[in-house]
Amino acid sequence: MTEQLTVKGNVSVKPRVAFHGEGNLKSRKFWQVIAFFVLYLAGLITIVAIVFVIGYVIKVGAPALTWEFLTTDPKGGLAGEGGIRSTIITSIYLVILVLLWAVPFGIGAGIYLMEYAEDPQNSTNKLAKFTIKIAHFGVETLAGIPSIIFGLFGYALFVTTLNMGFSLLAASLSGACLVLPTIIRTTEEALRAVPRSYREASLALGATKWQTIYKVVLPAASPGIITGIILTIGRIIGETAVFFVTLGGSSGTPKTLLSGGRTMALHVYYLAMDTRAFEKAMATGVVLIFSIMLINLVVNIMSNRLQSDLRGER
Amino acid sequence: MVMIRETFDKELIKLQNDVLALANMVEGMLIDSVLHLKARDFAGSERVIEMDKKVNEKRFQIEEEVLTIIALRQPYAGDLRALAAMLEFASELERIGDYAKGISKINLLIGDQELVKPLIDIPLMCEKATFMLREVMKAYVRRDVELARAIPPMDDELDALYNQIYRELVTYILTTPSCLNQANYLLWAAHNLERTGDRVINLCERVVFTVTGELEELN
Amino acid sequence: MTDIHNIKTKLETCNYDLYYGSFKALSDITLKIPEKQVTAIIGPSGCGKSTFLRTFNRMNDLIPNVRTEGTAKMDDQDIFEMDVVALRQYVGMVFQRPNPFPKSIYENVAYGPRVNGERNRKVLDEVVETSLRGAALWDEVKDDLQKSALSISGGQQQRLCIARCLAVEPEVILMDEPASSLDPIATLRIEELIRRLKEKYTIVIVTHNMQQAARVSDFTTFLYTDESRTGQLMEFGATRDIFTNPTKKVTEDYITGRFG
Repeated sequence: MTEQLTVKGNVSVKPRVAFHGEGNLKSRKFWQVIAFFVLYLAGLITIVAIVFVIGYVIKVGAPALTWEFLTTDPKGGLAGEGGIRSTIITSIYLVILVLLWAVPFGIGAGIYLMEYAEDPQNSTNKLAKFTIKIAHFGVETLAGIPSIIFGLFGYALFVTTLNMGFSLLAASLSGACLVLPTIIRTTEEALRAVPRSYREASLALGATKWQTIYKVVLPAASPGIITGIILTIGRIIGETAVFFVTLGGSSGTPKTLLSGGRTMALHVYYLAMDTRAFEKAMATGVVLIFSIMLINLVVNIMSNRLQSDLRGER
Repeated sequence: MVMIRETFDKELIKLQNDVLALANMVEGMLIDSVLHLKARDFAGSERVIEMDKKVNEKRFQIEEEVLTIIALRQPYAGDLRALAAMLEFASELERIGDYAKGISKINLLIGDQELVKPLIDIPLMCEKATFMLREVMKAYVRRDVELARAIPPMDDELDALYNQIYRELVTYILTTPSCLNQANYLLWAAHNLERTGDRVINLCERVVFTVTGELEELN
Repeated sequence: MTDIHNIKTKLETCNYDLYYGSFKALSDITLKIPEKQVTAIIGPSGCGKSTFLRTFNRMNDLIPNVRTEGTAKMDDQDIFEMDVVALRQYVGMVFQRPNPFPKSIYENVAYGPRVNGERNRKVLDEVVETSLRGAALWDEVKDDLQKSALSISGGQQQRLCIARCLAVEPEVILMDEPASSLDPIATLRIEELIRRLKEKYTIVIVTHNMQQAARVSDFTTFLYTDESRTGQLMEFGATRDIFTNPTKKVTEDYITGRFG
């Protein structure tokens, strides 16, 4: 450890003591520079790509984006007359309905799965463990199934067999099936993330299990659950396949649950395929993009607020 | 935790050695004081009187050390009792040192007078007393409760010797009134030795307490 | 040795064993815990002190695969026959790390009474104030009870947890190393509080800090374990006796730091 190191050229390096000294410092610094450069490049390319896509859509669509465009219904025809008013309304209706079906069942199922798994009696029961595994596997699988499958399922069951026809009802029920696994999963994860100590404290104060869930665990998990729901909204707005085969293509504003309609995302498709109004398609795309950006912004703000509330910073 | 315990054990051992050293000093003083009395060695007696200062210093050093350890180490159970015992030992041993100093002063007070009678019983008392002291120190180091309980009966011999000296000296005073002073001093010296025995009994009780946690009277 | 026979027993166990699956965590513990006194449970780490403590409010029920034998009683009633929710209103617990809910200070303290059905705002206000006073926290937070419980210091949070526990008006308070995550000043305040609380409540405190046990408790229980990791009751007695003259050598070795 203490031999004198001499390097050619009359430069003698100080004797090495343990791990101090020159060592391979130059080499390590070099590789760090390379690594960060590559990462920087990757980030740059990603951002540029995104900006390019969004920029292109905005550039092409902007001319068609007028107040009229937003406030008149589509009129059809090869030139794609009219605006997107009814599609906006249909999208909103659909979001509300899907959430109406999916959220109560999704959160309920998430709570039940978590409770069932956490119950001390069940962690040793082989059958219970198996059931939970199956349930989780099912949820994970469903979450990954392409939305067109849900669309066809919805078409077969709701549209045809149950005779709802192309309607908000059929479409929202199908959409609910689509997002249900995701809501169940995010709810369960959010509930699990609540520190065990809250549960213990509540039980030690003489609360029942349900009171503990209802008064302590759920509220504490709400940022996670709400984030999940809002992201679901984003998904619903952007969905095409599942609504394509359950909503029909009517360009009017739906009047009842059994009316059909068109969402903004579907309208983009129709404009692009059936008309030459490419800029209008792009303009619809712009509205879609901004809606999603708005939703994500709201998610971020709400999530931050809720988090800092829980941490006691407000 | 073991490191702290090891350091603590070392401190306790060092303190115990200090107490032993004090006991040695004091034992030496006792033996010397009687020797000097018998040999009429005044310089020797002066030295013993000087020695007492060192005894006092050592006692206070031991006390300070004990208080520091109690404050810093929060000792419990056996450790606590051992430390309490050290305080008691330091105090009693210092008292015995004072007795030795007293005997040396008596030698100086008697001065050039010839001794009324050759000293036989007083040296005997000194032998017995210092034997008891050595035994109790042994019991202390070994934490030997049996030995500690066996020492107090020896005090009876010490008391018997004292009574004998008392009768003799009273007889001398009655027959030769002029030797009243000297007889008185000699009686005082014997008294100091008898008190030494009592002190040793206290120390025996302390040894028993350190080991068992019970304070027994050993008489 | 101090005689405890004329003090009423609040909690007791008799030949109590506890198993995690096939592992015996506690063996044959027979113990009487006196009423309105502070009883400390000390012992080397892993000897089952916390597990034993959690027997008294049946928090071990939450752990899978736990089996017990022998009896555990409060006021001469078998706690395993009682309704567990009711039991926990009589036997409260303060945990090692402060765990206030992410709610306001008021809502934290009012939680216990609320889940019990109390709705009257005035009654709740009173309970909150009494409990916060009882936990020596009222003066520090009275100006803003709506503040989040997570925004106060660690020591204050722990006192808040104590207040929360007091609001349910328990008879027994179990404390699992309540000061171990706090700084020395906060620790001393908790210890002061414990001494005051024993006037009204029976307190059982697990601590790995010998000096704390000596400072704070009236009675001390020494749980011991060897390589088998099974906890046994080695000694129980008045704190002053245990710390000046314990009867078992193992106890003496432990409290003088010869092992830990």
